[in-house]
Amino acid sequence: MSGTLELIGLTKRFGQNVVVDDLSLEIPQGHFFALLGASGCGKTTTLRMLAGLERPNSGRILLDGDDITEKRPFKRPLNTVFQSYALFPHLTVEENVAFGLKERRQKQIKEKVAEMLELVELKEFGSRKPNQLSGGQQQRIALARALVNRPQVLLLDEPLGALDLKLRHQMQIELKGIQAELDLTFVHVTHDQEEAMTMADQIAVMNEGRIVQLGTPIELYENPETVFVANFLGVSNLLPGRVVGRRDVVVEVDVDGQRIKAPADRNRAQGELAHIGVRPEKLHVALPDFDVPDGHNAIEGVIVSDAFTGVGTQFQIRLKSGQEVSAFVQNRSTGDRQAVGDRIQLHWDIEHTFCLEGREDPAAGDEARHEAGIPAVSGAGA
Amino acid sequence: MAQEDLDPRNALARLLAQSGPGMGRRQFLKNAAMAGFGVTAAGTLLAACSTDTSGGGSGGGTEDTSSNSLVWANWPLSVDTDSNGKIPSLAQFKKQTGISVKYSAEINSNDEWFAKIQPLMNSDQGIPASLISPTDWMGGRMIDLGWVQPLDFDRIPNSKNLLPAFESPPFDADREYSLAWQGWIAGIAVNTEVTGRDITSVEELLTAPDLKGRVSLLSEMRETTGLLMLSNGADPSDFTDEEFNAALDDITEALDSGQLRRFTGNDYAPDLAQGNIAACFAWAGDVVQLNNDNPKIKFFIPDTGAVLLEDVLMIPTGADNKVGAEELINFYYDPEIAAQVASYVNAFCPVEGAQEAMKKLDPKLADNQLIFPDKTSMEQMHGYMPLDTEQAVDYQSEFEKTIGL
Amino acid sequence: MTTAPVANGDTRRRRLPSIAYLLLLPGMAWLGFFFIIPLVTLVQMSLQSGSFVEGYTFTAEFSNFPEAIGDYSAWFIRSFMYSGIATVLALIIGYPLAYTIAFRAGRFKYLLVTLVVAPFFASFLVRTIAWTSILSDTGIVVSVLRSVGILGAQDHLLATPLAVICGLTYNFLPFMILPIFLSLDRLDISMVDAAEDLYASAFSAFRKVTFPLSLPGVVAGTLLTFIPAAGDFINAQLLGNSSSLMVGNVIDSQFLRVLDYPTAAALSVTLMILIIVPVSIYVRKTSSGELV
Repeated sequence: MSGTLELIGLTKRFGQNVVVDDLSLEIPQGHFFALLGASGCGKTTTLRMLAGLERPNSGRILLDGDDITEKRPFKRPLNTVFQSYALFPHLTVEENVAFGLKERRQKQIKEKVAEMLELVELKEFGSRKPNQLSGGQQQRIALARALVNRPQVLLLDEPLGALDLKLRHQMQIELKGIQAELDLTFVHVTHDQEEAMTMADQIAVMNEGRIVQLGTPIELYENPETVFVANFLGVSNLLPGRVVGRRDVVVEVDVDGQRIKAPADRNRAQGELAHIGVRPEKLHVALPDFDVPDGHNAIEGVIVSDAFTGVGTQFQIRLKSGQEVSAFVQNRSTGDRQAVGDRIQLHWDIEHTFCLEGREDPAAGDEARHEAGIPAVSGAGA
Repeated sequence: MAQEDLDPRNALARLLAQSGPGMGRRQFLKNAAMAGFGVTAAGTLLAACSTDTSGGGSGGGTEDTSSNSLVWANWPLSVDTDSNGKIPSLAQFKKQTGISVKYSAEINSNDEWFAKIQPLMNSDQGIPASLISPTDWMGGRMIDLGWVQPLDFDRIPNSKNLLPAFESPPFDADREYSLAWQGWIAGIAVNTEVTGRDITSVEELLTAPDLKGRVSLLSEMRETTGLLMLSNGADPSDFTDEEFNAALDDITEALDSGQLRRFTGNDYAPDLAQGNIAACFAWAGDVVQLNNDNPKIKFFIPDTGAVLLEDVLMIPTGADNKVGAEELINFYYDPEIAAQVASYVNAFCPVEGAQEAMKKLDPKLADNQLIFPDKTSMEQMHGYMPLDTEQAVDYQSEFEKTIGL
Repeated sequence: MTTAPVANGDTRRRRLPSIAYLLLLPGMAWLGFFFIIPLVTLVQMSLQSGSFVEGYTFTAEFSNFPEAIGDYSAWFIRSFMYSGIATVLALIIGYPLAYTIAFRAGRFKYLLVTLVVAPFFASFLVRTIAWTSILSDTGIVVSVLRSVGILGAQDHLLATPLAVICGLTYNFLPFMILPIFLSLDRLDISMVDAAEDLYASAFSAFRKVTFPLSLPGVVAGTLLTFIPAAGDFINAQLLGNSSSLMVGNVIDSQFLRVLDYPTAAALSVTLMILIIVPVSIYVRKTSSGELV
């Protein structure tokens, strides 16, 4: 089984509007690959170019080394699961699933269709019309209709977007299971960072037609390279500061008179200005006189709000500079808890610190996340 | 604009008014009326007609019994009309008498109008109009049905101006119920640019090989069979079944030989102008207009004679304002007023002295033989035998079959 | 404890329909007055006997029907033939037009739709008369056909069945285009993407997806073209000759000139039945697949 995709300098313009801008990417065979971004970032256009439904203005698409850029969609061994499923309403479920096989004049269509309906657990629904099925069932038919063709690559355009939360979680697991079972290359377009992180082996975060960062979910989360990624994937506390020292292993940043250290390999600040970043769940909330361990950064503040969520408590803490940060403390301690108005000391492991370019807008990516419908305070632990 | 166009009759009337007065007035408008129905299924038309209670949409209303107003049911554009659609003669009449007349252009076809008023006349309701102007044979049918009342000629002193030729029409021999409004001469129209010659013989029209497939006859029974009977030496004002049937045979023969292209209302006008039709049966009033645009289009009274029909002035039973209607008739029999109308409508003017009056208005029209025929021309014109309704239906049925229905 | 809400729900359920019926009342009254009553009158009239002079009376004269049909079967056949051909022509012309407007016209889409309906701003009659100029013996169409030898020097298009069919096609074409346009315009374009993604060529995608999904529009269009065309008489009168007159002309003549109301009514009822029966079969057949 093969299915390695290579995108080289792919560019798509609609009029004056550059939607996909010189995009290059390699998607190895058998990967579950997510293109993640807010609406309008060019992810769907990229997918449509892979499917052959849009023609790139320049650049090439290679599939296992073959140039398929100019091939019409029906000549490409790729299949798509569309956002609205695009099931043919005038055909039965069976006819929908058999569509691609018939077009390619395959043999044993009946058997293959039955087999595929069994895989998606909708064997009894073959003679129904799509509009007689629930959203989740339609989604699975759309999947079956694509998979039955044994494509080398499966393209999924926001396949779970129309499902409710519970069903979405269930389908995420099912999709991942099917992908693993068939060992297919999946290219999954989504605006939902959580979905991407749950399912994908690799995520390419897109913004304004370009890939901002590419990596595994863990890499992206732990080591965001830009403010956009830091804000778009999960919640980040970003503290503006000035780089005051660069050494072999750490950089030192002055944040309101406090020296904060970050590992040098996690530093993206080119000049003097920097944003110190740390995830809420990495923060420890301690009393002001607490003896901060070695290898930890520390900063003082006052608790302005707390929200108990069961698994933990979400604190908002105002720093001396007036900036507020959030901290998520897991529900593991016993005895007294800190309360609103308490002066406290925040501390965290230097290894959990990232240092981003200070010239970036500290709100970059926030808006994108809001558009994607992800609440700002989600608590990474949840 | 779209709103005004809702009524196709009005739309077409305006269109025609723009293209010049008179042209294609009567049958053309009859077709416009049909077009209104054409978009609905023919069946609905039938049913709708039979239950129509609007009385022709004149809006007059029977409750309007004021002696200071009356409704006149007439053909569209059958009276002098200025470019704003106002009728100068009626304005003048109101000034003189204080009576305001609503000109209801509701007769687009005698047959349709009849179908429309029939249920009203059969009930006690009557129609809103106090004066009506259908064609003579329809007037005759209405006399038969007892739908009109005798005129009081003491109130119409100007009736002395009625031309002798109109004094004793077959359908109302003693002029008890009617006076003539306008005369319509049916004869032969020729596009001499196409034929290269005049055609004054009905027989030539039906047989000349160079006219093959380029001749049309009128779909009106009286005009067409009348002209054919004259050509056969019969008298349309007094004929037998055999003579009528001989005329139908002439039609069948001409159809079979391919001489005839089709039967028309006055939609022959565009065909004639474009040269699709070389020569045809036509109404003089239309051709006077066509001739203005293209002098090569001429009207001929056939050697064997023309058929003369008239639109009448009649007062229906139950009229709200009989006295006013008679006053209006009297008004229009004033030669000056008659000339004024004739200068616009170009139909045969039945009023003595109007020709003199026309000399002041438009000397060219005063010499027009089709508006003011001289004695010789008059002698060549023949009325059509009055048919009682039963006969009329029988003859009509035979005629319709012959022309393809 | 559970009975109360159930009873409550029941009364509410009982009251709702009566309000719904009340709301329906004006519509029903309108339908009854302008559709049912004329229809009943028409059917009643078709069963009358007598003559115009003596008056027509209702005698359940069913023989009116075989007589009318016997006398005028040729006109019925002609009407259905002409309107059938006109419908097929309108479909052949109208579908590509609707398709182009829906998918290829871009921002000119609604301008083009407006142009399609623009002829309706002129009266039906004027539009038909315009065709006498188009097909005129001295017009461009005839000249071209004569010069390439399709028509002889003495042949003409006006006053032929062909002209009638042309007129019918033209006059009812917008009724074909609009519903097809609407169903194509409504079509989710991702269906076509999906078909192409599933190995269908452009033609195959059209045949298996686009066209079936536009079928409701095609059905509506063919009905809206065929039904009025079959009952039309203006085109036959203005563009035809005496051997191309349609059943609408006969009804017109029988009703208005011959004054044979029962025959005219019987012809109308027959025409309605002849249209309704195949049309309902057609609708049933094409909609059995529960088209979207």
